[in-house]
This record gives sequence, C-alpha cells and structure tokens, in this order.
Amino acid sequence: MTGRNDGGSGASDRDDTSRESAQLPTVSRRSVLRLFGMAAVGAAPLILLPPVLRKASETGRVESRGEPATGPDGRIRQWTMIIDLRFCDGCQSQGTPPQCTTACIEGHFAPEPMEWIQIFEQELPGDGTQFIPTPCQQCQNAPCVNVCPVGATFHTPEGTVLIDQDRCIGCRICMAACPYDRRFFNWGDPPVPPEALLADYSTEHQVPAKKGTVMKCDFCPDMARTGTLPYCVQACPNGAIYYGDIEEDVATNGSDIVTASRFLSENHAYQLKEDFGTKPRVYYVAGHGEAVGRDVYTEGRQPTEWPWIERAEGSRTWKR
Amino acid sequence: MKSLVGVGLAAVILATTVFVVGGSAEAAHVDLNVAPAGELTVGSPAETQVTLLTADGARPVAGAVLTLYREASFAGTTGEVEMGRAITDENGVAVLSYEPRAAGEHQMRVEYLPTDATEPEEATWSQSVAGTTHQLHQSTSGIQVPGLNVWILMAVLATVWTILLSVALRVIAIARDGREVDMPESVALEDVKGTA
Amino acid sequence: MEEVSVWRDRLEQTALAPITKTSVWYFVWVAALLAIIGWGLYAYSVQLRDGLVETGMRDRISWGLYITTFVFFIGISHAGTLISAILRVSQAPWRTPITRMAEFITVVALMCGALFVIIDLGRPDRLLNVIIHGRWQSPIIWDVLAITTYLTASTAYLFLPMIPDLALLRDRLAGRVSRWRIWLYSLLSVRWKGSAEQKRSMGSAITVAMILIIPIAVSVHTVVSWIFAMTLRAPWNSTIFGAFFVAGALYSGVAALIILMAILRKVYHLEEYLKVKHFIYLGYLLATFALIMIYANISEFTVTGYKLEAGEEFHFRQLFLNEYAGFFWFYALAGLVLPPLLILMPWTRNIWGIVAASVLVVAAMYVERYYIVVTGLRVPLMPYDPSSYSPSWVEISVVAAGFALFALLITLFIKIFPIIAVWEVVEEHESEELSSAAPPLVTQSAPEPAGGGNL
Repeated sequence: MTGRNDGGSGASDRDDTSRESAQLPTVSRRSVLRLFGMAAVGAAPLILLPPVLRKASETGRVESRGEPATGPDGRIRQWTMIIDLRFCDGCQSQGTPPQCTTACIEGHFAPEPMEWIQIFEQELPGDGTQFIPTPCQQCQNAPCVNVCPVGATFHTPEGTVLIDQDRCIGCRICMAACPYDRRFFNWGDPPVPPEALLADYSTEHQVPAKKGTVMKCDFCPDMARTGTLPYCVQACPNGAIYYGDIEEDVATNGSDIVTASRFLSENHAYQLKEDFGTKPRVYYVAGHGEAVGRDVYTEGRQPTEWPWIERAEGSRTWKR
Repeated sequence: MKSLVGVGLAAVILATTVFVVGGSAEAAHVDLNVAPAGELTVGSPAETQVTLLTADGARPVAGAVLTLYREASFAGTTGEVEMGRAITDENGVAVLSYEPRAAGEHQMRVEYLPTDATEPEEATWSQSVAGTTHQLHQSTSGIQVPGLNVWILMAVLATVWTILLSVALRVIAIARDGREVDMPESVALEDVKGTA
Repeated sequence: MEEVSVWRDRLEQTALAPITKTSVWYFVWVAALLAIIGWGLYAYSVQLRDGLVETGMRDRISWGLYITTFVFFIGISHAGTLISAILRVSQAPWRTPITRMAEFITVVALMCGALFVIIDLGRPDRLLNVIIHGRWQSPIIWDVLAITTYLTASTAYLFLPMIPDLALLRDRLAGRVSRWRIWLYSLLSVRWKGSAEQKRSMGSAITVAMILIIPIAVSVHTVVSWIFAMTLRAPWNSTIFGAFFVAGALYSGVAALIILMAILRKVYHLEEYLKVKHFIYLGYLLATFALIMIYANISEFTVTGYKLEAGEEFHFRQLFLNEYAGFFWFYALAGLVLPPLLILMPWTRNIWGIVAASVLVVAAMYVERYYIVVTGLRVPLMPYDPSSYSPSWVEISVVAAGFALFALLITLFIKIFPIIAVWEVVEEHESEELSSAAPPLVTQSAPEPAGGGNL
C-alpha cells in the first residue's frame, strides 16, 4: 500500500498540483442539487419547530393584559412622568424615609431590598447635592427589551415596559443592559408578606414576586388605566412627581395640572443619560428642593424601610 | 378737634384718590372680542382670533400679552392649564394658536393682564373638539433599512445547517458504499456512472 | 516497504494502547474526578433549592464566576478549529498527530461551556422558553444558535477523520475488548472499507466541514463577546470586542492544547509522534497570539484611556490601581508578556518552557474573563457606592466540578477513541519518507489508479 491511496484528506496531496487545484469535490451538478435539496428538506422542520411549540404550549397569550388604556376618544394613552426636582428634598423635611419609595414598596409588596423608585443623591458643582427620584425610565429604545432572549420584557402600546415573570428565565442580561440600575432580581425566595401571596399575578401588577425572575417599576399601568395615579405620585408630599399622557399632552401631580409639552419646554426639562439614545419617558426639571425650602448643602436622609422584614424572618435576603 | 379735622381731611383725600384711580381704571377698561375657531378636531391647529380694544371701542390696544387657558381634567385632578400666548399687533389683533389634544367640550379662557391694573381682563367661551382615532404621538426607535433585517440571520443559519446536513449525507453515502463493497455481485448504478 | 509497516505497527500499538490497557491510576484519576463532580452536584442542588442567593452575585454585580467559566470554556473550544481546520486548510504537515486531541478539546469544552450558562439561570426549569419564545434579536439567542451549530459542526469534524481509525479499531480489536465496544466501533465506522468511493465521500465531507467550521468558530466567540458589547456599560461598550474575544479564544485554546498534549505524551508514551517540534510550532502560534492580544489590549486601553469618559476613569482606577489591579497585572505580565518571552528565548524553548508558558496563559485567560465580567458590572451607573463581588462556596464548587467534568470527558474519550489520528499520521509519515527519497520515486507514484485518492 503506497501512501498515495491512503486517506482522502485533500490537504495531504501536496506534490500533485493538478490534485491541489481540485480542492473541492468534483461531483455532478445533479448530485449537488439533490444533496442540497435533501438537506433543505431536513433543515426546514428546525425553523418550523418554535412556532409549532408555541402554539402547542400556550393556553392564552401570557403577555396580554387586557385592552390598552385609552383617552376619551379612543386614542391610546402614552404614559410619561415628569419629576420636578425643585420640589424634591428626599423627604428630609418630612423626617421620614422617601415616601415615594415607601408607597411603591407597600403597594407592590416589593421584596427587600428592591427600590423600584429610588432616590439617588447627586453631587452638584460646588459640592451641594440634589435628590433624583429614579423610577424605571420606560425607554422607547429600551436596552432591556432589545436583549431579552425570550421576550419576557416587552413594550406595551402605552409605551411602558413590563416584565412577564412567568416567562422570564432569569438570565439577567437585561440587568447588565439597563444603564439606569433599575432592574432587580429575586435571588432567593422573595421576602414578601403573606397577604402578597393571595394576589392574582399579572404583568401589570407584579405580585407576588417569583423566585429567579427580574422585577422593576412598571408605571402602575393597572391603576393608570382606571384614572388613578401611581403610588409614588400620590405619596409625594411635595407633589414633585407628575404623571401624564403625551397623547393628550397633559400631566398632573395630584393637585396641579399642566400641559405636558409646555411644562417640559418652559422648564428646560432633561432626561437621564440622554446621550445613550434610550429615549426615556421620564423627564426631569432641574432643582434641589429649593421650592420646599431645602438648602443645597443640607445633609442627611432617612434610609428606606421595608415594613414586613420582621414577618419575613428566616428568608435569605441579599445585598443590593 | 384739630386731629379730628386732620383725619377727616385725610379720609377725603383718600376717597378722592380712590375715586380717581378707580375712575381711571374705569376709563381704561378694555374690550376683548373673541372669535373662536371653527370646526375643531384633535390634532389640527385651532386658531382663535382675539381683538383687544379700549372700552369705548375706539382704539386698538397693541403690544398686549394675551394668555389662553383651558379647563383640563386628568386622573381625578381638574384645573386650568396654559395653552398659549400671543401679543396683539397694531390693530389690537392677536391669534392664539394651539393644537387641541383632547376631545370633548373645552372651557377656554383668554386673559389680559394690563400693566397698570391688578385685575386681569378675561373672556371665556366653550368650544367642542371632535376626536380622532389617529394616534398623534408616534413612539419611534430604531431605523428601518430595507433589506437589513432578521431574515439575514435566518438565511445564514439555514445555509449553514443545510451544508452540515449535506455533510451528514456524505456519511450515509460512506455507509452505503461500504455495504456495496460487501456485496460485489449487486452492481449499483452509481458505481458505473459516478466514478469517472 | 519493511520499515513503513514496522513503523506503522508500532504506531497502531501506541495508539491502541490507551484503549486496550487500563492501569490502576486511571481508575484513581476517574474516581477523584467523580468525587469533585459529586460535590459540585451537591452544591448545585443547594443552589436549586435556595436560588441564586447561594452565590455571591447581587443586583449590581449580576454575573460572576459562572459566566466567566462559560466564556472561558467557549474560548478553549477554539483549539480544535485552529489546529484541525486552519492548519489543514494551510496543509501544514506537522498537525497530524495533534488534530484528534484538538478536536476532543473542542467538543468537550463546548459542552461544558454551554452547561454553565444553564447553571447561571435563575429559572432553569423554563429553559425551553428559549426555544419556544426565542427572539432572533437577542444576543443570548445568537449564542445558543452559534454554539449549537458549532457543536454539531465540531462533532462532525471530530467524527469524520476518525472513521478510518474506528474501522481500524473494529478490525484490530476484535476479541481484545468488550463486545459492546466492537459494536460501537462497527456502528461508528459506518462500514468503512477504505474503498475509493468512500475515500472520496469522506474527503469531500472533511473539506466542506473544514472550510465551514472556520467562520462558524469565529462567529461563536464573536457572539459570546456581544453579550457584553451589546450593553451600555462603560468597559463593555466597545466595538472591538468581537475580534478581541476571538483572538483570546485562539490564544487560550492553543495553550490548553499544549497542556493536554504534554500530559498525554507523558502518560501514553507518545514521544515518537509528539516531538519537540510540535510543541515548538504550537509555541510559535502561542507567541503570535500573545502579540495579537497585546496589540488588542493596547488598542482598547489607549483609545479609551486617552479620553477617560465618565465611567472609564472609574474602571481604569479599579483595574490598574485599586481592587482588581492584582488580577489585571497578573494577566498582562504573566499571561501576555511572559509566555512569548519564554517561547522566544532559546533556553526556555523546550517542552517544559512551552508547557509552563501555556499554564500561565490558561490561568491568565481565566483571570481575564473574570475581571472583564466583574469589573464591567462594577462601574456605578448612578450615584451610589460601588459594590463588590466574591464567589461563594457554591460557585467555586460548581466551577471546580465543571473543570472536573471537562477532564473526565476527555479521559473517557481517550479510553474509547484513539488519541492520534493514525491514518493521517501514517499518510504524512509516508509522504515525508517519499519526499526525502530521490525525486524519481515521486514521479513513479504519480499515475493513480482510476478513481483513487482524488478529491
């Protein structure tokens, strides 16, 4: 047996140039077509498989939550939030933990240590500070929606971003993608009060929390649809948070009502990390609580509390 | 006695002043004539023409700032919202323009606050705005480039898997050829045709 | 030729020895690996019971050791692609004794890597959602598709050139090993008789697979890097991540291969086939990739460091000066600068030096993946104090079990499949013999029997 006939690897025939030039197999066109035809027939089921599985597994579209919220003439609401920082002092003057955060935690039974709306203290030039209540920014070009592998986080017709905790697989790429630190994970069994377990879960009301899934502020869509303001808006003692509808161009903080577009323009509203192109639905009017008498160098703020921590004794919590 | 006369004199002077001032306000009272816009629909601009004349209707008031308000209601809160401003021209005419975004009956109010008076002059009226089903605010994100889409990924994947399957078919061909070598009597057609 | 057949018999004996003879140490080794895997399974069961709170991860550093290990294993899997495919395409003759081991590493590393993504999930019970509800636009789905495709292609690419060797085992080992193994070899050798038809089919299949697998492999580690690069985090928001990761993958893959080669050479006495020159050539490849990695790092850090955007300044401080400086400088100096020096300096350019360099590379690349994941997440997004991450015992145990599984699978492969591609080595050896003889010998063997040898 000479070496020539052994093996079929084309690369080994170095000396014969005619064989080198014919690197690719010389086969008839018919057999190539037949080969590809059979292969395509074999590959087709792979593409058809997911929709078939989807049909077979669904009892109803889990993401649907009912009709979109509409205005009086049937146009779909486009929820927005405008936060007037001139009126936010982090509840320093109240001597309480931030009331927006507290109301949100209580209303949603948000597990400790999730602060779906969180007050960040930002340093200003000159070393003063301002408080920035930061809910989910409900981005129109949401990085979290873009990266989710299973579509568990999704846009609603109202422009809000919600999470379907029944579909979430807990991969946490959305948490890596969010540039505002607004997504929270249930690392263990979520510490929630017993009454939370009685609630009917829906994507618009993330109660009860589910282990191994992601949660965040949802703009209280179930309440907004019925004309009720979200917990944080209602709870703010200074009326710093406005909730509105861009479609109807109106916003309110519970006592004052404004034309949203005019309010934004006249007050030179801005967005957080605008340069990232996430197109948030949350706007800010610059300030440091001066309208409620805060001096820019005032320090100290109460830490947030979760009322049911004692009742969640024994459950593993985690650090933020 | 002297103090009583002094007080009385002061009172008279005060009253006169008030009368004079009040009188001058009376004299400067203006007339707001509002010509409301016609058929209004959500999304199309509504123009209201307002003419500001002096009370006797003689002279137009130019350079006056007029503000337009609307009675609005949202999420249980009602109140007035500012809709626009305009300045009257030399004929005392200003056009207040805004784009109504809510359907229904709108209670409108135009206000003029003269510089030397404390009470604003206003005129109110009501106009109805027809609704529309067309969404005015379109949330856009991303760009659409014709042809650059997810189907490219699907096509690449399908191609690669087709090629892999063709490789698998080669293995089957090897197995089939091996069987034929075992049975040299049955000559397959491919053996005759395919080797050349 | 007398010499060839004697040489060939010796080769077959050596290649078949691991399959036919099992020493006590083999069982001890397997038992140790099984013990580590068992402990890892226990740790994972704790994680399943209590949730990911058993790990050291937290909201602000939501990926850790598991994702590090996943990226690392996918990187290692590029060993096979480089050696088998690229060297085969470039017809480098010295690759022949190495290809089988490289392909082993690829298949096993891919399986272990994919496993770690699943381990990292918060809801592994919903894994099927990835197939049922998968979104084409998600980097994780690209990952799933790429790794599945690469695993299939690599398995094919491992299997195809092994067919003649499996036929060899089927023919030579009848009676010397258990019946189920003969049955396995018969099945897998798909009736290979060495006929011209079959050689043609296999040749064309290998050619197709070898050309196809290169872009597949490049795409795999590119999409793995895009899991990070498609986010807006300052250290990850870079366009060169794809190329950077592919270069790193090839780098760590070659190093892993060198280590495996050294171990198997020692244990199974392959000195005659795995010569010093193989290590040196692979060492040169390693040094080349080290230089490419140095260039990539200089590129990345100079361009971002010159400008120092908001998050980047924090990142540079944590990476170069503060908490993660130890990790980074170990990677840069011991993992990027030292290995090429070891390989290029004449007095360390031997098997020991090259294996030492490879060990440093593998360790440094693991460290690199670790700090990329953790420091990337650590840069604060809003005004809050940065968090810290340290792996828990659960994570460390599961990762150790993952490495043990990697070693175990390779160990089992060695017992079942020949570690050297016998027919390829024979072919190359005979070509060498012929070309070293007088030229007339070459032209004499030019006329081919009809239908034979051509591809």
